[in-house]
Amino acid sequence: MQRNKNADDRAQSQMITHIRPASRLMPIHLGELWEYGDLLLLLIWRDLKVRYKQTIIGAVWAILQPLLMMGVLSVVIGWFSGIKTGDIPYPIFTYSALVPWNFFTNVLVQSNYTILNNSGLVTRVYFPRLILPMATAGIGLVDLAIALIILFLLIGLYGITLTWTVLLLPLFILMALLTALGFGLWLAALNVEFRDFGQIVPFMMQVWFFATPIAYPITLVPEALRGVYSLNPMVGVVEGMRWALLGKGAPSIDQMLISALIVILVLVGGVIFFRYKEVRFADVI
Amino acid sequence: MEDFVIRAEGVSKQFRIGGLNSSNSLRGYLENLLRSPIRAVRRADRVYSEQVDKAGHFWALHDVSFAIRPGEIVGLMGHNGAGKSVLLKILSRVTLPTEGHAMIRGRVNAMLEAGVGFHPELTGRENILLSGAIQRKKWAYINRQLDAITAFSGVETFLDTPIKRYSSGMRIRLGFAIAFHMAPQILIIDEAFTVEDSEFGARCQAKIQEMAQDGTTILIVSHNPEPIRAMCSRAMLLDHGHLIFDGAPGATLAEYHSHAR
Repeated sequence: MQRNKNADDRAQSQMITHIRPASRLMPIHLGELWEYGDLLLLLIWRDLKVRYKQTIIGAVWAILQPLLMMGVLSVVIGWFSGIKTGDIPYPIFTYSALVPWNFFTNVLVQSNYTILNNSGLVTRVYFPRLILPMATAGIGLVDLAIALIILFLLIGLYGITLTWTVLLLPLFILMALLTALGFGLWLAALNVEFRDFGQIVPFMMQVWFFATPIAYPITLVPEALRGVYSLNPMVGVVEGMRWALLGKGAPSIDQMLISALIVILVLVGGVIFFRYKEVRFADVI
Repeated sequence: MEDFVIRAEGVSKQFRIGGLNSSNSLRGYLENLLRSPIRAVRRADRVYSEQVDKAGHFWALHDVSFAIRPGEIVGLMGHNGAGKSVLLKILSRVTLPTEGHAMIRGRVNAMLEAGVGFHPELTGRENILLSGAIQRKKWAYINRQLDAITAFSGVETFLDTPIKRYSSGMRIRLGFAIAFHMAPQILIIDEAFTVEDSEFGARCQAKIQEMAQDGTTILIVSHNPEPIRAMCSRAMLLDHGHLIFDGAPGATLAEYHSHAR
C-alpha cells in the first residue's frame, strides 16, 4: 500500500527544500497556503466541534451574545437617551451593527491565543503558521453566519423590505473578514512575544466600540471629524453592512475609501509582521 | 550533484538565554527599556559555560555538516542537551538555523513526538484525518490508509472513541502508525523507542527497515543503544552542539559511551 503514490507525490519527490537562516522579509507562498487548505478547514471544524462539545449552550451563545447586547443598548441608549435613528427602529439599527462588531471582537480576542493554544503543533511540525489566524477568522465567520440568520428574521419581524443594496452584503462581509484578519495577525504575533498583550485587548475593544457607530448614528459625529473618524476601518464595515441590510443611510464614498485603504494597510502590514515574527515562534513559546 | 536527500552545511543554532531579556511580557520589556543602562553591569557577573558566549547567546548547534543518501537509516545520538532535537527541528522546518544551510530532496515527515496535533475531544478517526492534513495529505489518501493505520496501531475497536479515553500506550501506537503510513520520502523520528510495549517496538523496527528498503530515508534519535545497533546503517554523535563522530553504529556507540558527561 506504500507504493500507492499519486501524481502529487511524484511531483514532490523532485522538490528540493532549502533551509536557510531567517531573512527580515520572509516571502509568502500563496501556492503552499492553498495546499494546506484541508488543514485550514479541519482546524476550523475541530475548534467548532470541541467548542460545541464542551459548552452546554454552544451555538446558542453565538445567537444570545448580540441579542442580549441589542436589548441592553435598546433600553439604555435607544430609550433612556432618546437618540433618534430616523425611521429605522433602534433595536434593528443597533443589531445590524452588532453582528459585524461581535465578529470583529471575537476574532481579535481569539487571535491573541491562537498560536499559544496550538503550541503543540507550532513546536513540533511544519505548516504555514498563517493558517492559525486564518482558522480563527474562519470560526468567526461561522458565528457571523448564525447571527446573520437571526438578523434576517428580525428584519422580517420589523417588516423592513430588503432593497438591491443587500447584494452588496458579501462585499462588506469580506471587508469585515479582512479587517479582523489584519488586526488578528498583529495580535497573534505580538502575543507570542508579549504574553500580557492579550490583557490590553478587552479594554481596547471597549474604547473601539464607542469609536464605531454601533449604538449611535454616524450623523452624531461632527462633520469636520468624519474623515478622522473613518480612519477606524470598522466605521466603513458597520456603515456598509447597515446600508446593505436596511437600504438606508448610504455611506459616503470618501469615508468608505479611507476605511478600505486602512484595511489594506493593516492586512498587508500584518502579514509582513506575522511572517517576520513567525520564524521565532517555535523558539519563544 | 552527488546523490543525497539531506545535506547540512555549517548548520548552527543560537538561542538567547536567561538574563533580563527573557521576561516575555510587555511589562518586562518596558522595564528593561528603563533599566537598560544597568544591563551591561548585571551581565558581567554571570557565569558562562563553554557553549555560551559573552553576549549571553547559547549555541545549541555549532557548524554541523553531513550528507545522507537515499534509503539510509541514520541514528542520531548524544547526551541530553547535545542538540539532537534542535537538529531535527531544523531539518523538519519547525525552526530555522541561525547560520549555515541545509538542502532536502523530497518530502519530509517528522514525528518529533507521537501523536502531534491529537485533540483529546476528537475520536481516533477524526484525529487520523487531522494528523494527515497536518502532513499535507488529502482526505482521499488518508481514507485509503485508514485500515492499514488502525490495523498497525491495534485500536480498531476504539476508532470512534474520543482520544481522551485512550491509554497512553494506545495514543503512542496510533501516533506511530500514522507516521508510518503517510508515505514519507524522509522520515524523522525523535525519541523513537521509548515505547514501553516491546512487541510493538519490534513491529516498528521491522516497519522502518521495510520502509528503508522501499527507498525511504530515515533519521532516528534514540537514547537506547539497542535499536540503533539493530537497525541503523550509520550513526552520528552530537556533543555540546558539535558533530563529533559519524560512522558505523558500533563505533559511534563506543564513542558515545566514552563521552559520558
